[in-house]
Amino acid sequence: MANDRKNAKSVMSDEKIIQLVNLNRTFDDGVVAVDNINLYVRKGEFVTFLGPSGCGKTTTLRMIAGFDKPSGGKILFNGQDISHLPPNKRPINTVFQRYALFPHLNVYDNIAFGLKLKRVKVTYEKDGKIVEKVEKLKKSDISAKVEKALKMVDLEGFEKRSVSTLSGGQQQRVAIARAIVNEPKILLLDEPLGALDLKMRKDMQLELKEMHKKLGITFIYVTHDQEEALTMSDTIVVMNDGVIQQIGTPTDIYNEPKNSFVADFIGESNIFSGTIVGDKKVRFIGKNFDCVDDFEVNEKVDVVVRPEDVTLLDKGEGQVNGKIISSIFKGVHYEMVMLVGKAEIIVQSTVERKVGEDVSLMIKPNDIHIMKKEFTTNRYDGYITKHNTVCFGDGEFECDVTQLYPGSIVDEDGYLITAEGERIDLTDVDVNVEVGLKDIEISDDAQKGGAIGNIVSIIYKVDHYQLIVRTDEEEEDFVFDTEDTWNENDRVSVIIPKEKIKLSLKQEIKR
Amino acid sequence: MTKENNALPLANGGKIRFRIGFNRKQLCIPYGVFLACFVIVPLFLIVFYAFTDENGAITIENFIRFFTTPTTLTTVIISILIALATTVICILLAYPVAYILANSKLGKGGTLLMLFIAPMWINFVLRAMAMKDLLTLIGVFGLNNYVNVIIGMVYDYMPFMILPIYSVLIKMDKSLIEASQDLGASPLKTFVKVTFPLSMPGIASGITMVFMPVMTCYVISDTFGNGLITIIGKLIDEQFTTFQNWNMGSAMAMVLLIIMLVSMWVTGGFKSEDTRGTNL
Repeated sequence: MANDRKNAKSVMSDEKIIQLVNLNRTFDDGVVAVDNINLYVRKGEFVTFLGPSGCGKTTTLRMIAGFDKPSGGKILFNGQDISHLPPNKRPINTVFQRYALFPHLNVYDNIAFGLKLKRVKVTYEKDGKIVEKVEKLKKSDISAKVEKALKMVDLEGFEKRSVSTLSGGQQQRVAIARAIVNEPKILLLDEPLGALDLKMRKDMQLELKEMHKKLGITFIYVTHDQEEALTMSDTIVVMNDGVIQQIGTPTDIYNEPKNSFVADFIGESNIFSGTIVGDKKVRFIGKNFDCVDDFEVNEKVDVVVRPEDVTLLDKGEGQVNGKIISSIFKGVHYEMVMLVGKAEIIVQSTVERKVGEDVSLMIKPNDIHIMKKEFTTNRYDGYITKHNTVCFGDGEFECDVTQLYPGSIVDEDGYLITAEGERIDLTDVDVNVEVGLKDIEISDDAQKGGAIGNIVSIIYKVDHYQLIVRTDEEEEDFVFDTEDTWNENDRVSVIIPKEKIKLSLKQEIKR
Repeated sequence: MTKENNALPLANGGKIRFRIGFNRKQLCIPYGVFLACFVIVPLFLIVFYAFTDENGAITIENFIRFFTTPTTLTTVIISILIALATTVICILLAYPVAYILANSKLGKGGTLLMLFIAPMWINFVLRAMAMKDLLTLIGVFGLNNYVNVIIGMVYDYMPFMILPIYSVLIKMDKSLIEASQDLGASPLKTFVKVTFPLSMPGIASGITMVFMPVMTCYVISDTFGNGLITIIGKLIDEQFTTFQNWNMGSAMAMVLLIIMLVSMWVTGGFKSEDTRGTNL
């Protein structure tokens, strides 16, 4: 899956230091945190796991460190399965999210903690024979290593300080020094900069990058900050819902997002719904554009255009005309919103266009990125109840059962009378259910709809939002388009009009 | 007219109302009065009685008599030894219990903890008698009076050791344990180098809650020692009730107070700011 990964900035070999094979983690309460992940990390690589909170990135990291046991699959270190090795036996060190410095030890003892536990093989020559012994590190060796690590993180002279007197940034540095002093084969970093302020975070990003180059250790970094990931990594692994969405270099991920989730999560983007109308021709916002991707004619697609790739021209000079409805100065550029029909298109440019100005946009074929639509319809397995309603997707909905047999009617007792006059009891009959993306509504009144769930995803698609509502028990998803504004994690009930539920029999009814 | 000026008369409904000014600090006045009447004044009374004779003349005769009477000195030493033994046994028994409680899923719900704390709700004289009967039943009772007293004390003061250790352990940041393992420490090394040192504040407050009360808890020593073991609490009680010698009694109470202050000073070294509230 990741064979197209290019060798990027850092010096790294093709040797795979870590391989995750069909890795799974299901928590005791049934939540699937990591869902069948396959991934490799090369020696010396800087890999970042990127995704929103709850996407499984930290769980994956904890499994590599050994704090969490996989429910299935393997973790290979240099080809050997280490899934069942305890954390203290793995040549891996971690920089924790909230530092986890030992409060009862000073800076020196915190950093020396791992070294004091280390045992090394020493060979002696005794009476002409070579004797091999396992020994602790010498005190002088330990202090030399600690000094070196302190120098690396710019904290010389802090040895005797108590960790509780240090600032957040200094504690962070101690945590990094404590990990790298052990010269691990892999350094894991779990959102290490999350607690620092913006300026400090930017400085630390560069310092970490520098450290990675100097040390030559493999870094596996976890963050939800896309900018951080783009700045630091050789390879980014974008995750959502416990599944890898895309693996690639920062440039690949930014320029060639695999799906609308990645496009929406990494940087700002305009996502249009489009249709392929010819050979390398795509139609969206009412106009045909040339593009470079090959897709089948008439296929419905998502079209991604980055705000900086939209060029604004005077009215009539570009491909589509519209009006500027907002303009904000962002330092280097202006961020403007252009209205074309109902679509609001974000544009970034160093040239300002005033609000209300009539303009025209132009997009180069190279900058039009086309993706297969992830969702075209909702499909469920359901069954008919004795009240002739249908149960699916963790809920019960009113439906029209007569569509199962053309020309049939329902009699007073609830039996279905077919066109041939047969009387059928539909109770517990299994059916396939299909609901279109435009046929679902939601309400914050829990009583109103047939199923209840939380909004787990909102993706802005220029003239509408695509929402996913996930139910609690069976975790069934309802995907649909809406023009209304909702918030992630809103609790809503799902309403589907009776006539929009399409039913078909799974098999002929036996009587 | 500014908006603020407008708002004022509206806020009190246009009328001038009498407002009872309550400062939050003033809420502690009732307790302050209580403290003065029943703690501070009695303390001064004890000091006064300790340094006077029955005629009210100032003297240090009480202390001289205390430290020159072999029986009282023996009692003090026995009390301290019993308290020490009880404390050590309590730590040895309570630590594993608290550790298991803090790390098990059952402990999180508080059900198991309740089982260990529940005896505290039963009248302790009743509990002591029941324990004595139980010991007699299994035939341990009467073998050695000191052993009996220590068993009784440990039984009675165990929850006071479990609870502070448990509350330190349950509040401990689990990522510290993970960090230790991550840096190469085996589970045993992690316990010795991280968990145990960090639970010292809990042990310290456990000690203060067991060591000192044991020295004065003569209900237990009477019940379990067949009346043959006297601890310092009993001695003080006798001075006040049997001999009606309030001056000698007060002097003994002062000596006990000083022993307690010393032991608090010793264990206090382990406590730090962030472990406040681990005391009962």
